[in-house]
Formats: sequence, C-alpha cells, structure tokens
Amino acid sequence: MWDEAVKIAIVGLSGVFAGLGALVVALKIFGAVASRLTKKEVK
Amino acid sequence: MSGFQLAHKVLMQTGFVNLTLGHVIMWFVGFFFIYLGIKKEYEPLLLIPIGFSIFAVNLPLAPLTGKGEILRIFYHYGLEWEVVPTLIFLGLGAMTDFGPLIANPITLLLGAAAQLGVYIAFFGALLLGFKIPEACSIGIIGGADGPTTIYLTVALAPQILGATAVSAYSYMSMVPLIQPPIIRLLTSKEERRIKMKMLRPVSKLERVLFPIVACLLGCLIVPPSAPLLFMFMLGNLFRECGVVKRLSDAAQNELMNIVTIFLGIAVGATMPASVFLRPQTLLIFFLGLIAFSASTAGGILFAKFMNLFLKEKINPLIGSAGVSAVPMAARVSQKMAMDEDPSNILIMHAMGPNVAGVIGTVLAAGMFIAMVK
Repeated sequence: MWDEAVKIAIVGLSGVFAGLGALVVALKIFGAVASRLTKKEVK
Repeated sequence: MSGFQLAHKVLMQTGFVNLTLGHVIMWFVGFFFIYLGIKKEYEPLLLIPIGFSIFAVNLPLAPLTGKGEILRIFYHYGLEWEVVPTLIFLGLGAMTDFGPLIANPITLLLGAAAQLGVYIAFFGALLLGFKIPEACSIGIIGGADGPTTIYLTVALAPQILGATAVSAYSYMSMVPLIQPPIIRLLTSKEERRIKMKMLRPVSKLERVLFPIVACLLGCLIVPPSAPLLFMFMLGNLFRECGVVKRLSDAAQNELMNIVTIFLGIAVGATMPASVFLRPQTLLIFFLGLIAFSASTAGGILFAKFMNLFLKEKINPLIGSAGVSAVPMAARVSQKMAMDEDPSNILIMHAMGPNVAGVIGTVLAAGMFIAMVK
C-alpha cells in the first residue's frame, strides 16, 4: 500500500505543478502579446 | 384492539420511544453549527442549513432519509449526481476576478505549493488506518475548498462525506484563527514588510481568453478535473465577456443561493448519529487541521524559495493565500502585512495565489480521481 501511496502523492503533486506551470507559460505568452498590442496602439 | 393496545401502538411509533443518546448528541452538534452560524457568523450560509439538516436526520422514525424521501432525494440528485458542487463552481467562476493572477502569473505556483497539506494529510490518514480512497478525500480538505472536497469524497469515499465536508467548511471559516500563528512562525518581520510593485493593468482580451485557455490546459492535463474546471471557467467567461450580464448575475446570486441551500441540506443529511458518531470522525477533523496548517506552510515556504531566484521579491505572506478559502486567506495576508506596515497594500497580490489555489485543488482532486477511482 505504501508504495502505491508514495506514487499517488508524487504523481499527484507533479500533475498539479504541471497544470499550473502550463498556465504560467500560457499567461506569460498572453502578457507578452498583450504588451506588444498595447505598444502598437500607442504608436 | 382495545383502547389501551391502540394507545400503546401509537406510543411505540413516536420518536420519543425510539430516541437514543446518539440522536441527542447529534441534536447538540446541529445546534452548535446553527449557533456558530448565527452568533459567530462562521460560514452562516452553510452552517445553518447543515445544522438544521443534522437536527432533522436525527429525529427517530422521521421519513426523511429513506429511499425516495426528501433529504435522500437532495443527496442523490445534488451530490451523488455531482450537480451541486459543479453549479457552485459556476457561481464561483462568475464571482472570481482572475486579473491579479493574469498580471502576475508566477503566483500560480504558490497555488500549487499550497497543496502540500493535501499530501501530508493523505499520508497522515493512511498512518491512522484509513484506506487510500478515504485518505484522498481527507487530504483534499487541505485544499480549503468545500465543493471540491465534496466532489472528490462523493467520488471516492461517500461514507465519510459528512465529516470531510463539515471539516473543510469549519476550517475555512477559521482561516483567520489558524493561519496567523503559522505565518508568524515561518516569516520574519522584514519578510512581512516586503512591498510588491503595483500590478500591471490587464486587458479585456486577456480576461476573456483566460478561462478558455485555463479550461483547455487544465482539462487536457488532468481530464477528471473537467466537470469542476469547465463550470468554474464558464462562470468566469460569463463575467468577463461582458455580453451576458444576466447569466453572470444569475450564476453569482440566484443560482448560487439556491444550490447553497441544496448543498447544506444534502451535507447535513449525511450525518445521522450512526454514521457520524465514530472515532474516525474525530480523526478526520484532526487530519483536516493538519492539512490546512501544512498547506499554509507549503505556500509560505515556497514563496520564500521563489525569492531565492526572483529579482523582484514577493512577500511570503501571499504564499499562505495559496490555500483556496477565497477571499478569507487573502484578507489574512493583507491584515498581517498591514500589522507590520500600514502602508503595505497586499490584497491584490494575495488574490492571485488565492484563486490559483482553487484551480490547484481542483487539479489535485482530478489527479486523485484519475489514479484511485
């Protein structure tokens, strides 16, 4: 049981970090695109 | 049948004759929740219907929880069919401002780190003799998210639903009491005084795209989290798109209020004396506290860890807001920052990890379902 539990915890926490990490990357791209668009509007 | 026999038969069918000590104890539990809701204003929207429902299901012989009876119907269609937690998420999405998170995406990681308590309580539950599905449900209390706790427990361990749901909501309402000592223990005065620079403005396009992208990524990475994540992000899209104000208002107000009533009744209905008055209930409450505390510590410590690499330091107080409990955990961060420096306005920074914590808990629940169900 403990073997399985350790795997569940490691994979589970990794999944949470992977999901939110992917969102961080997506939002960073958002931010970069948004700031470019804003600069263009100012010009 | 003589008059005496008839009277005796009627008497034997009254609740008084069938009353047990367990029923009476549960009445006091129910009254205590009602007291907390009314007098202390701890989560009154939930504790009052839960308390009254506990009282009702512990009335002996009352036809409330049998097959086809009213409280059973609330439980069956509301919780077993997963309707209520998902509808609550629709309302939460419509109420959530993801602006601070979009402006400072790195704070999403604090929402992930604050799931640490979920896994610590998971192991704690296993050590205390719970099975893996029950340990998952107990662990998720550390995510400080009531609907997710209910959703996961119904999926994995419905026999402990009453204890996990009440534990989650009780500790959520006690965030202002639980978190400050842990925060003080893990942060120095200097760290609590760190001022963070103002967040950039977030465009409407970003706000509209966020729920779509978050739903896509979250559901692709952890498909079992889709029911909650989809509803959460749909609610948020209602809010941000600006053209369905009626739907957004309905999700935030009327619908949210209605499903909150259903939720309270259905959760209370899972707490008859025979189910609730067991030593394991006390253990679940104890583990819930461990989960909450460890999640708070996880968020703070990860914020301090991030500071080792970041040029612009973040105030570790916002790490503790990574436990969901929106917006209470963010308010605690704000209050503690202002206690050190009244000019330090941290609330918007704390809202980022706070809403990230909601997504993090949903993903953690989805991972448990994917691996255990």
